[in-house]
Amino acid sequence: MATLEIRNLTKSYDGETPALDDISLQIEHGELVALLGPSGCGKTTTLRLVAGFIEPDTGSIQVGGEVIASPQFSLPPERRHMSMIFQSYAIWPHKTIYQNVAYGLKYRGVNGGEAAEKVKKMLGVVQLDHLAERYPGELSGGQQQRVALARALVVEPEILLLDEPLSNLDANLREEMRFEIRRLHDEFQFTSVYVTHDQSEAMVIADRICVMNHGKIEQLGTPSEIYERPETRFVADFVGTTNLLSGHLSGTDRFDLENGIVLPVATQAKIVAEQDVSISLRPHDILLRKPAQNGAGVGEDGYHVYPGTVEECFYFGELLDYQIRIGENCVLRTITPPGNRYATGDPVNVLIHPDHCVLVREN
Amino acid sequence: MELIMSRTMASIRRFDATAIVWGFAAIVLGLLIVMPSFYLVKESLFVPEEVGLLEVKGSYGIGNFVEAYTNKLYLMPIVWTVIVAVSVGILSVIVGSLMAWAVARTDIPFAATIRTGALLSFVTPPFLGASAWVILAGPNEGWLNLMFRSFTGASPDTHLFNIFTMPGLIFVMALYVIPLVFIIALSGLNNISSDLEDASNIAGAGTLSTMVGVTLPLVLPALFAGLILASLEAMIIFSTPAMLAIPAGQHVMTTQIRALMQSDDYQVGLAAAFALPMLIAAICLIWMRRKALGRRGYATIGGKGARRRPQKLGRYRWIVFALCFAPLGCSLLLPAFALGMTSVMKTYTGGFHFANLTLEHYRFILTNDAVGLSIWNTLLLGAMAATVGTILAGTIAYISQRRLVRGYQLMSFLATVPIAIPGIVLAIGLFAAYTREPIVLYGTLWILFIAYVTKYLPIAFQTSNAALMSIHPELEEGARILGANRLAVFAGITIPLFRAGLIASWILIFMPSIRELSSSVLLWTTKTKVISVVILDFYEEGRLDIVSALGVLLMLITLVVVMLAYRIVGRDFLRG
Repeated sequence: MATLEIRNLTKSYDGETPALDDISLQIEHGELVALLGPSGCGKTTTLRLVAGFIEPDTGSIQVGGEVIASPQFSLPPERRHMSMIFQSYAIWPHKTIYQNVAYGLKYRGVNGGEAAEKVKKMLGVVQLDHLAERYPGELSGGQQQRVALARALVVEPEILLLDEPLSNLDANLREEMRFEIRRLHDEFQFTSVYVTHDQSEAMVIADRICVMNHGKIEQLGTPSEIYERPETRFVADFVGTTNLLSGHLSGTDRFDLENGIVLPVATQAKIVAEQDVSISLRPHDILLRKPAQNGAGVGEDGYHVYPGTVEECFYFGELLDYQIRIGENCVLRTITPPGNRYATGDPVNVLIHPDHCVLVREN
Repeated sequence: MELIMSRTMASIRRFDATAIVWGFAAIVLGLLIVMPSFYLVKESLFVPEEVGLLEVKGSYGIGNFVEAYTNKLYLMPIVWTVIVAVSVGILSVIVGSLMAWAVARTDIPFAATIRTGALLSFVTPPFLGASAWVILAGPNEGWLNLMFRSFTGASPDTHLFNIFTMPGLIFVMALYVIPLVFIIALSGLNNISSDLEDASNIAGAGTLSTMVGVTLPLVLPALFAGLILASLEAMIIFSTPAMLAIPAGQHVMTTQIRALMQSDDYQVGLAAAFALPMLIAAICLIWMRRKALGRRGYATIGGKGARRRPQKLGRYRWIVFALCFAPLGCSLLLPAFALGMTSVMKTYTGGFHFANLTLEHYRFILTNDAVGLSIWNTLLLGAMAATVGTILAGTIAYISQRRLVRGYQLMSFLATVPIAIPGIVLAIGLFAAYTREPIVLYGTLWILFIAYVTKYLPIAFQTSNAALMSIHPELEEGARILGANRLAVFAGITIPLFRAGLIASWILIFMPSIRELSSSVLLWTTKTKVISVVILDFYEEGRLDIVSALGVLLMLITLVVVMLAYRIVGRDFLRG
């Protein structure tokens, strides 16, 4: 069982500023976890620690209950039974595609006909069987990416590490390869750690997402948990677009924006105890209606109604992006399907549901 | 138990290679750089008082410096060195940069030929050029003067050209420094994105104001670097002045140093004192060049030098071509003709007819034992220096790029330092360091070997560095994670990818080593002569025929090596 367990891991490159600050994370057998965060958040450091290219300052890494890295002991990368896919692909230009893919097998004791068969099968899986005798220089970026995948998967690693594998591809190919990687993962079920700074990539590919910032884990959860129930201001802001509104809790289900506007919130036991909180409200959770006579109040299906004015409107074809002012210092971004259109300056009613007002911690 | 095990393993893993690597590096760099520098300074402060047969008595003081810089005898060489260096520098920058501009920015015919020609004259040993120009423009029997007399009927004691003059010296020196400036200026020009010039055009500036306002300021650092390197080259060169200035009755600093070293009195201290300012000047020049390039980054002005619209020269096309071709004709074609012909003529003044043809000179150099020994020594030394230098440079480059040990920056710095040490100064240091206990190398090939490795380590290091930079560390990590250990990765991934860079390094040490003269001239002994020293000997005996035959042989060896290199690594290595 290749469960990967990271305990209290700390790493600093210069001895002062921590690149990684007391990280703990458990990845189950066959699970694909994405480490998501901006550059310098510690995600690549975590991956390189797991791979064994660097050694931890404190904490430990265990695979299937066995310690492979700690400050006292670090198994060299070649003995960790892992595979890695690199940002640069790291396909060896002096070896053919076949030789590239076959490279790892001889170190895992697979030789001769058995090795040839495995390589052939794997090249088939990534649809490169016709290019086996070519050199990498003759391949396109997407094909090189597939070679990297094949080379990493053919050795049937206990753990597969992926370091921003799609960031060098152009947009269309990137989208295609996302599904490809997810398909291969579903087929082979390796325990995988996937580093990326692209939130939509993480959403599509990962079973769980670990959002990191400043060397710490901000939140760990399934893609829908991360998107719908962000716990911190950073997560709400980094994953998807959102309106972040500051103010304070008044009572357990009301949030005072301190400008005369009070928003309803659904109770969140986990966070209520904290004092320093904000509200995250996703732009497409906000509904717009033509103003009725009675103005503010509680309307249809528990939605609260606030009168507002259209400040700006951008047309995107499949959606409309509005800036709606509902009070002093309070402009909400609202994304709606094209239907009713409002012009700049139009009065409009803004409908907000308590369930969509998510309390997030300030950091 | 397990704790003890893991402790032991930890101490094995944490074992730092720093101590071993630095220990080894300290020995090597100590032998190559520290010892010679130390003895150079020490010797310069040693004033001999009583020169005995076996030992020299004396005391330490600044007497040598006083003597070297107050005695009128030694002042003129310094003045001439400055004059020659500045003149050659300015002359080559003007000609070299105009050639580069014509090749990079205009539609002159045969641009590629000019580029290749410049590279070829860059690898031509200057002492062969100087010998050839003696054959061509010697005052009494030079071919050009003979032609002049037969056309004009002038009397035998008049001459059109006299190469044995300071202008003659400057002319011949400049011929072989121009290609250096040309190459630097060309890469400077090619690195300027044509977008920058197009942007200036679109903003309303004409061709001339674009050139003055945009192009020139952008290549100025490169031109300044060219000027500095050209002057430095002219300052430290020994062969051309030894062949042309001495017959003109003048010394420059390098020839003066050799005269002091070969004098019967013990004047090594005086030579060292005389050489030290040259070293300091060289270091200053290298530092200035760094500074000039550093601020804007070496010509990394964006753009890959895309094909641009060449300037139309119209009817000046062929005139500009002729101007660009003239320096190459003078440095390549005429000398090749002069040496080639002289090597098969009974006497080079005997005229061009069949009765004057002979292969005797080739028979001589191929059968004479002393010459044969020098050829063997040259090839052996070249191959040894190139092999050891390549390994050394490659190792240091690998260590510093992969940051394998602490203090790797210092190591790469030390590998670059010799670039500022003039060959003849290095030779004095080596001579002073290795003619006495505890390490006696003088009289063996080893002292020449050390000189060559030291002298050409920087170029090999820079080549290796550039080659390694293109090998992404992930290529190695990718193999590690798949199960290969450090050694297997090094042998299976790193070395094969590094191959072209290593071969280029080898060539870049071998080629200049087999024609090295300015260090060898102070370090040879009867048993350890090399081709260049033998050529100088025959030159000084007036045997221009033998010089020519040896020169042709030397060029043939160079040509074979270059062609082999092309076959193995393609033509990329010249860019290193």
